[in-house]
Amino acid sequence: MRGRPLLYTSYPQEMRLFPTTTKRVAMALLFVVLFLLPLKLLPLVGFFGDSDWMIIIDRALIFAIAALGLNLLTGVAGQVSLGHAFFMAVGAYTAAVVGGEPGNIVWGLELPMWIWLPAAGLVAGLIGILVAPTAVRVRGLYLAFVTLGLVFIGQYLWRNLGSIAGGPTTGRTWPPLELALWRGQEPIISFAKDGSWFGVDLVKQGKAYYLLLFLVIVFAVFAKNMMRSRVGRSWASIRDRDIAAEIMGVAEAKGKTQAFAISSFYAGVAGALLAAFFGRLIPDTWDLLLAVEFIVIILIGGAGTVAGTLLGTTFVVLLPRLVEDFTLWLARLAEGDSVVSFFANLVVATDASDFGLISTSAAGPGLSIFQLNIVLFGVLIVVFLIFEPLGLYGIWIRIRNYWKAWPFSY
Amino acid sequence: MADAVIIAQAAEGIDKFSNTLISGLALGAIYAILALGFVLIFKATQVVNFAHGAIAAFGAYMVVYFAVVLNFPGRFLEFLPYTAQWALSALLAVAATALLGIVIERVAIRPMIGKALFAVAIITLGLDLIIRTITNDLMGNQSLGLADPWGARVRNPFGGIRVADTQIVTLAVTVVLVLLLAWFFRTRTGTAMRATAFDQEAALAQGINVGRMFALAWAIGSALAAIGGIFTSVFPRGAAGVSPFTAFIAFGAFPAVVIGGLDSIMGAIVGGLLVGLVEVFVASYSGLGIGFSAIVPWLLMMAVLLVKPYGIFGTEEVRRV
Amino acid sequence: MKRMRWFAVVLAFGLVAAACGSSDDTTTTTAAAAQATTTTAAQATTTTGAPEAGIKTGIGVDPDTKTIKLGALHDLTGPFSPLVIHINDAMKVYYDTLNANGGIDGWMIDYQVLDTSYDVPTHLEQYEALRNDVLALTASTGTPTSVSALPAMTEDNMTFIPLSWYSGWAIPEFDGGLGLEMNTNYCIEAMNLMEFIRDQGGQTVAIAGFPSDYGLDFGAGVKLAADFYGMEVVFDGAVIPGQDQTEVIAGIVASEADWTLVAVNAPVLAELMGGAFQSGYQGRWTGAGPSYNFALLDSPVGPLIDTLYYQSAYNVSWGDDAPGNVEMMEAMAAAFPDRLPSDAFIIGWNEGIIMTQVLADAIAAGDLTREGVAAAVAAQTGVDFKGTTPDQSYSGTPDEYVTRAIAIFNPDLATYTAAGGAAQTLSQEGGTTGSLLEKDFFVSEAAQEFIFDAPCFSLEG
Repeated sequence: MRGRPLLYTSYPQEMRLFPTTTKRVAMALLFVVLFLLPLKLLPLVGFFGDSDWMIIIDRALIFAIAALGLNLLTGVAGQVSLGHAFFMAVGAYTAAVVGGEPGNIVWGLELPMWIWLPAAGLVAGLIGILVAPTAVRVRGLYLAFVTLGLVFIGQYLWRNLGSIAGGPTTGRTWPPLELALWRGQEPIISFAKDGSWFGVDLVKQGKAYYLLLFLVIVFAVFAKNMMRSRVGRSWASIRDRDIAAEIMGVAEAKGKTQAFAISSFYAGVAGALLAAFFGRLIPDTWDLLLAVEFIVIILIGGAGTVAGTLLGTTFVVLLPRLVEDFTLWLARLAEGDSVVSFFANLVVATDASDFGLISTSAAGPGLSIFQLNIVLFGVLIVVFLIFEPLGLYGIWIRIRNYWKAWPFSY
Repeated sequence: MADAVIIAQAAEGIDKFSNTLISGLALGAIYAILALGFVLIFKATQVVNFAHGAIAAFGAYMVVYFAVVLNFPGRFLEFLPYTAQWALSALLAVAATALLGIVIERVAIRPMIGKALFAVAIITLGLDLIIRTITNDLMGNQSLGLADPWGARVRNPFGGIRVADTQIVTLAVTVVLVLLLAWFFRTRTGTAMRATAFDQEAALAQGINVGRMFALAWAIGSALAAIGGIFTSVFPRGAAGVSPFTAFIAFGAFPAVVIGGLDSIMGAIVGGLLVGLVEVFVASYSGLGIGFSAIVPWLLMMAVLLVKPYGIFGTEEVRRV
Repeated sequence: MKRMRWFAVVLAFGLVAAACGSSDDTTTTTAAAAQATTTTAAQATTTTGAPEAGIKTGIGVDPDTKTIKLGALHDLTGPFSPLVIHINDAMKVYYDTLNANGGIDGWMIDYQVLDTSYDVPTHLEQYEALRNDVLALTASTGTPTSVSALPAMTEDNMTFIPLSWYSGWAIPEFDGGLGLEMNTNYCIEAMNLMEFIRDQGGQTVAIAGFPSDYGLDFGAGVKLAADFYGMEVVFDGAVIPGQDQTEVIAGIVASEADWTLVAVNAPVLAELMGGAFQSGYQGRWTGAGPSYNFALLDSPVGPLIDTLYYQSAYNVSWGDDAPGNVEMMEAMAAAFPDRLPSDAFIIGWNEGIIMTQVLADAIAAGDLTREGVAAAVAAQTGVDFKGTTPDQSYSGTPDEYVTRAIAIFNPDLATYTAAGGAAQTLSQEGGTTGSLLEKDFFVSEAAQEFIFDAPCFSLEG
């Protein structure tokens, strides 16, 4: 029986993490590439190791953790939440209070990272458990509005709780990503300062990358395991038909509470990492747009799948930078005299009298590059949901199936 | 300064209460108009329209475009009083917004019929980004006055009570709109729309053009959003005119919609007025920190949902295995 | 049918190849750019004397083409974009004009702007995109955003012009001397306004401001001056844009203050004035510079602005005949003949002047590295804005060099309407934003006596 793809003789076999050799090899290759990324050793994509790309990739990794959490709640358990940004904020401010420096008005216990990071997740998870009963009572779109309300209530709290969140528009500082044994001690490993590891020079974003990559792998494997075990199956049954699930003996309230707790734990950890990575954030960071971004990530990636969530995060976080680089590049092209620049000129408007869809001047005719970025984001959401409801994961499955049967794919 | 002293003293007791009541009703009326459009779209097409605020801002900008930029049709009708000229421009703006609603429905919503409600809701989030950014660009990213005929006129009918003309107009228009909608639902087309909302397949079987009903619902909903947007962008609340902030007003209407029930016309009116009054009264009388009045509607919404999970007037979902 | 499918496969291959090709291109350009940066950086460290004119160069400077790269981090899509878009365009026109006139001693400026949306993570990411590429930042929008980037900018020794008038930017202990503040700050501005109010016979004042460094710095100045002049602050309310302002309006009305001082933005100012007027408040109004925009004259509160509002300004307004202002107006009219005038243009223009002066000094000193620029800043005794605003200096102690003067304008609806109102264009003769001079640049007694050695409002929570 060995070696035959898609022939599974038992349920455990089908549910294995990497059922085929191809998958195992592909995974191993992917890990090698991901490991080498910050070292600038890879051909063609070496520039991803530069600090300006690293900082975006790091944010993508942090977003991936939060998105994995939301995917468990929304994609697997079917509970629509527009309040993910709220739970991230809870985690971030827990980390700030537990690990941050005290100031004139802000609290801070200055405890090390191995305390503040788990604490961030746990407190967010606890708040998630408090919210869960609402989800048992309120359903579907009404639940979406309740969680939307959480974001607004959270923003009110962060603006007014100065001792936790600092000034309403100046925010507070977070502890750096450094692992020390106890407060006041020299960190054993620092992910927040440039330097060399084992003789290899790394920018601080590169160091943080390894920490975050490790965490993403841990959280992704955990999520995958949740999904293919009893808990995940109970969530999926609640998503598909909650009454039927209850009749079959799945406890609805328990399942929803678990989903909220675990999803919020993910969000809390991600929020703490995001804040610590950037060092200082203001209450406005945790706004509706952030929450929406995660919903978009899981829908564009493919709801209910781990691989899709990771693909979606990469896509959504990296896209703006790619668009920006592309339009700036077009604008440079348009300055020349060649045939290429003529065509570039048709798209780009460089001054008021020029015709073009995109404008290099912020107030000129047409949309500015940066407005275009936002519009494009919106268009992508619409186009993806209309034409590819399964998201990037669905596209990937179709490509895979095509090549699997090639040349007889029709 | 003597005047100011007298008025300020007077504004303490019963007059402060009545002034707050008027402000609250005016804000509530705006919320009710926005909520009506929202509920209409939801009831007929099952779409939660997160782009409602952006559409409202677009509508308000269209007034600037017709009344100020083009001065159309006023430039051909100079014999009419300014109020009539402006009203014609405003009507054109509302019509343009209704057209936008039809385009949205045809391009982005029609292909999604039968798909998950949630996915369609997220599509409207994408539409919100697109419409809002383009509208902001049209506005030149700044606030633009609507050149409305009422300006900053304030009446002082009895004692210390002061009412802005715009507030009177807002309330009057709300009443007219509610009556118009009530009449519309009794017409042949309105009945067809109610039938569509009730059961699409049964409506199809009766020979109703469901697609046309969808387009009509989006047109009316967007027109209502535009009217809400216009009244958001006039004195005193939006004295600076329509601005990139206008699109966010609809977030104030969301709790109103949910409190009333997502699919209840009656609920939209009650919810809108309730939320407007609560918001303004809390702002005037509580003093509970920066921006507390803005989250009171959300707290109220959560409280209502815990007691009535489908809002006060919302239809309960029939659940079966 | 089968042939069609083959065609699809070929097409797909073509697309993939094209995609690879284009990504190839971008890769090589990026790599080349990165290489260029490293080589110039290497030159800077290894060779002390560059080939040409003996000028030491570093990151962001190309001695071969005589090009200096300057970056700007602007909020072009976020809450402050209405103002910043104008500033950005003026800045771009400034550098274009400078280059067309031969640059700085033959050195050309390459101006690159990135959008931050006033979002802290985005600001930091965009800074990262510029940090190995530019010599200095000719603009960095916002206080919280710029403060967040301060550790990285300190590490890089990156001189920057903060687009915010927070009083901390004048304090070297706060920004390491890297931030080149422009004009006075909100705190001292408030003191000057208080003297103006006292001269107008006002005794009690109300404050309404954003609960930010902006509003709080301004509020701190009002309170300091109230103590100094023996005036009374009878109301102090926080304002959040986009929310219901009934609470603040009720507070202002109930306070019966003679004057209300605001630190908000133009739409909120209109809402506050409109609401307070409706409730019968008859006090007069003034506020920090960014609170006002002449577009309000076109709104329903236009008549109220005309009679009740006094505008505080750091620069002369559009249409003023100061030599610097005339230069700016001509350049802007040539670049955007059909656009509306704006009082924000001069801000971007003057930021360009500061950077030009600093760079010219650095070139004269033969050191176009970031260290050289920082040294040129410390030795800077007077940037001349040709009459648009008082000279700016950066040497000595903060108390010695901080600028303390503002001008006060009285918006006039009739003047504005007579010139064409919102239908005015930049190319029009005699364009005006309706701001008539009420009191020319002055320093109040309170501001003069005030020993400025720390930010009025501390950001550190």
